[in-house]
Amino acid sequence: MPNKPVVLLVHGMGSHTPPKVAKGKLGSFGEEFVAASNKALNRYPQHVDDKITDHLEIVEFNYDEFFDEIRKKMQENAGMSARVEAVANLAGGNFAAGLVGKLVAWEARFGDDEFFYTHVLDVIFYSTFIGGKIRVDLALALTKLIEEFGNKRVHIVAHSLGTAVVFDTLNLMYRSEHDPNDVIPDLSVVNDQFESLWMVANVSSLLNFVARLGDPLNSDTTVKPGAGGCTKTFYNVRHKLDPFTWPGRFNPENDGDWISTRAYKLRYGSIVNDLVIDANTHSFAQYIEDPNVAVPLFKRLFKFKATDNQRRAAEEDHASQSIQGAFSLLKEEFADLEITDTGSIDEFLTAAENIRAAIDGIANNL
Amino acid sequence: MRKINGVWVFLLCASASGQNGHEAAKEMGAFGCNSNVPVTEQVFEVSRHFSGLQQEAVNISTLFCMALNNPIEAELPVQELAEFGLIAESRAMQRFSGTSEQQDIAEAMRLFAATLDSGDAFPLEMPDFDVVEPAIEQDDVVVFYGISVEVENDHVVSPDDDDTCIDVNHVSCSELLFDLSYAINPYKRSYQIHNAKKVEKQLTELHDDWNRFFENARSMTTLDLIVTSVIEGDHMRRGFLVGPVKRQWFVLHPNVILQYTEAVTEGDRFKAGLSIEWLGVNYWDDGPFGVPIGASITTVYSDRAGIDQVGHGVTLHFDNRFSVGWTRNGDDDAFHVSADILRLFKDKQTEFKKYKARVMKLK
Repeated sequence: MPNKPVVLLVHGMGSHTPPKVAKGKLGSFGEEFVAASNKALNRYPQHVDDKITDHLEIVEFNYDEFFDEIRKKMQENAGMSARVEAVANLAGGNFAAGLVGKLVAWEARFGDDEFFYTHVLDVIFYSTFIGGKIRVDLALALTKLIEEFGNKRVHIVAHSLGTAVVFDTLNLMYRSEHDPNDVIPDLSVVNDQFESLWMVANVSSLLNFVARLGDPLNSDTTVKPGAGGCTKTFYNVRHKLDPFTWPGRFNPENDGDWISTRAYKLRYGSIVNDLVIDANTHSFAQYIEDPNVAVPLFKRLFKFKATDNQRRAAEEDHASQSIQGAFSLLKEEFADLEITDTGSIDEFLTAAENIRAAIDGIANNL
Repeated sequence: MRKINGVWVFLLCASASGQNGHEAAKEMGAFGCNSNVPVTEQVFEVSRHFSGLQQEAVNISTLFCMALNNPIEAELPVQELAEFGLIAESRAMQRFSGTSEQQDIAEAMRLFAATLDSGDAFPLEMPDFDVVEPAIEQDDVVVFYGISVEVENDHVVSPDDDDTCIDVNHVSCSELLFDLSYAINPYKRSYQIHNAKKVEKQLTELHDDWNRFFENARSMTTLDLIVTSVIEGDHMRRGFLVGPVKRQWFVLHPNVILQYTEAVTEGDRFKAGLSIEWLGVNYWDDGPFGVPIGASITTVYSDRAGIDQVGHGVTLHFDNRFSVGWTRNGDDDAFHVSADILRLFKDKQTEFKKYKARVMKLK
């Protein structure tokens, strides 16, 4: 019988090397979680030499490796698009060169623009039907963990695009019409509720506009804590200056609509950070290191305890690393970004590119 | 009827009449249901204050294990499950009697026992007895407890209650509550594992279907992915996890082809060119004729004298790999095949040469 709880990690956009499970080695996202957690944990005297892996098992769900294979195949095809454009030019533009040109311009970004290649394409790929494979694989990973660890010892931590993957998967996996004898693979909201769900930089509401697999704020969703939900507790974590959390923000009110007011009070945690340690306010490590997140996370995962004095000291230590003036500078920089709340994928992708450029500019000035 | 560890086991009476307890235990073990393993090794957390109840919970789990592994001869022990609910209620009330939480715990345990007394209701509801610290620290809540079923049923222990709620053995209510949950919750383990294994099998089949799609289907551009997602959107939005789409759609999809036409001089009849599928569909697995098949409206470009460079027509796709088509180039007919066919012929040619060489050696 496993004697530690388990955390299932789901990464977001960008390059993430997969774990080497047979060798017991974490991938890059797992390593990032461990490093950030250890840094946060070691602030407390009773845990100064601890590693987070002393207290829990970590399982990474990696879908970047699969997207990488798709990207590589398409890059091979991109060369052909260039030849098509050449022929179109040869034919004196008679052949719908405008249309072909758009196609070529779109796919020519593969390999030319690293950010597009590693970040933006993830969102595009996931939003197409091939996201269905990601969801099946994540559901399979979760089911195996419930089988091995029991539902009450399973926790899920997702970041950025991973929050959309997790929301969509859980919404399809936990069904009120669950029947263990039918042909639909699903789990019971009564029997199989896992212990906690952590949505860090939650973009599930935004991407829902694209995939339309379910509305995270609808009372019918099963991705919620308590009665009728897939999890016993639910945490939504964001940074005030993380622009990815602005469009289509997940921010349920305590009005009995999404969940009952009692469940909202007891089972839902909304955590908002504002210290800037890293100009990239979307960084997963920055989220986890913040005591605002680390303390409730560790308490939930392994019944972490600290005195008020210890917690104050940890908060001061974290705050001492913040970049002076960064908050105001970032706020000013992002004020120029035209991000509305329309929730279109085009908005999201434009925002991603603008943010990257803004952060690059600011990082040089800080 | 036999009594094993305090639980009547109807199943064993039916299949093991006349056998002693040792034989019965061996039979339970034969189903791989851990009956001979100590309780402490079968649970995640060992109960200190409700060890007898925890043993009952493990026994129920064992009964479910045996019934689920032997569905032809055994029915699910729903009666025993209902009895367990009543036992849990009774043991909890014995311990919390006289404490300030007595009434709330009585209500929580009543609901728990009622939920387990499902009769013929299906699927079985087997909730956890939860004891949870609130998501965010609060001044007025230490822990809350209950079971998450349709009716919201979270009872709260406040700091004052936690200070004053101590049982006759000087154990605090919150400690007792956590321990009660450790004792009760193993009851559902076998049922949960059994169902999870079924779901794992179903998902593995879907996983394999997706892998077959990516191995076998025609390659797609980003535009193809997007258009297919729009047209086949209903498949993905069926409300549960699904396998791959049955049809792929192609828009402005480029290919390298080999064109053949008799409209030009001999020696120049075969020429490489490029095709664009304006709009196409491909059944990658089981098509209308039971085989992978597709078709596209196509324009072909081939830079050669004696024939229009541009021709419009159709292409047929076979087995996700081979494409053959026809275009009308002005007044002339032309045919084209995909590069994959060339590779096939090349491979076959290489095989033929090897075979011929072997045969020649034998002569």
